[in-house]
Amino acid sequence: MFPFARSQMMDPRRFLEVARRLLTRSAEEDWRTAANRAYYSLMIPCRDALSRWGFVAPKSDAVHQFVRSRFYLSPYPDLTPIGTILNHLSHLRSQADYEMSSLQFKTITVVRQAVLDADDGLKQLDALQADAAKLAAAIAAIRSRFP
Amino acid sequence: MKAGGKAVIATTVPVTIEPDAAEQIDKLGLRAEFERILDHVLQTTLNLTRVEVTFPPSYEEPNETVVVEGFGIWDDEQFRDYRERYLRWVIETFPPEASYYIHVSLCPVADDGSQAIS
Repeated sequence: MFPFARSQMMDPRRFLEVARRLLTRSAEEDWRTAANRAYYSLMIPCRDALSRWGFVAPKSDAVHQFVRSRFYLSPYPDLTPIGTILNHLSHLRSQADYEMSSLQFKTITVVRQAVLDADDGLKQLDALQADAAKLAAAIAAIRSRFP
Repeated sequence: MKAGGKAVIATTVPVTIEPDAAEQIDKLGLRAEFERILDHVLQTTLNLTRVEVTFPPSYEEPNETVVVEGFGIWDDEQFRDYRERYLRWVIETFPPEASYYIHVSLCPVADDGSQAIS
């Protein structure tokens, strides 16, 4: 066991605060970076939730698809909206980081919505985890889709 | 769309489908779903100026998803409205695999369609 207390781990939700700060600036590179931070502010808590539920994500690039697919494709209505947001943020993040010709970041509109979406996704994740019956059903749905 | 706002008839919107995107749609076996999704976007999204269908590269992970990117002249409220209405429709209409592998993205642009609003 490492001598680091769990409380010393950085909360990945703080990435969303970085994204919000970047939204107050007016350059495309800030908005692209905000899109990146918004994605990770939701993806990492979703990955960690899956781990707590017994679905350990690979420690490789495959983690993105692993997390996204379990929320998006598992047949449970409280997982789908989170998966939808993850899916959208993932595509936007990829464009933000790799596609310099993308027009998605010429205005703040798309990124501002992405930050709102990430916040919404985190709230939905929290609500799911706070409801034991729903959480059990969600875990069963993931297990049925990804045995 | 806001009442009284100028509308562009969606059926006149130019659609570009990259060959590798068309190939991927067929490989996924989602041709019928793709055509219905594209038709829905064209018919229900006012002030759409063009649509591009691409198969993005695999940058950090293997990509299997085709992206339908719709460009149009919308304010924030219209953008949110079209996006939310599309997501509701696609979730109600298809099994999740269809919208997982065919991703629709909307992008607000300026009147000439080539340069975004600053």
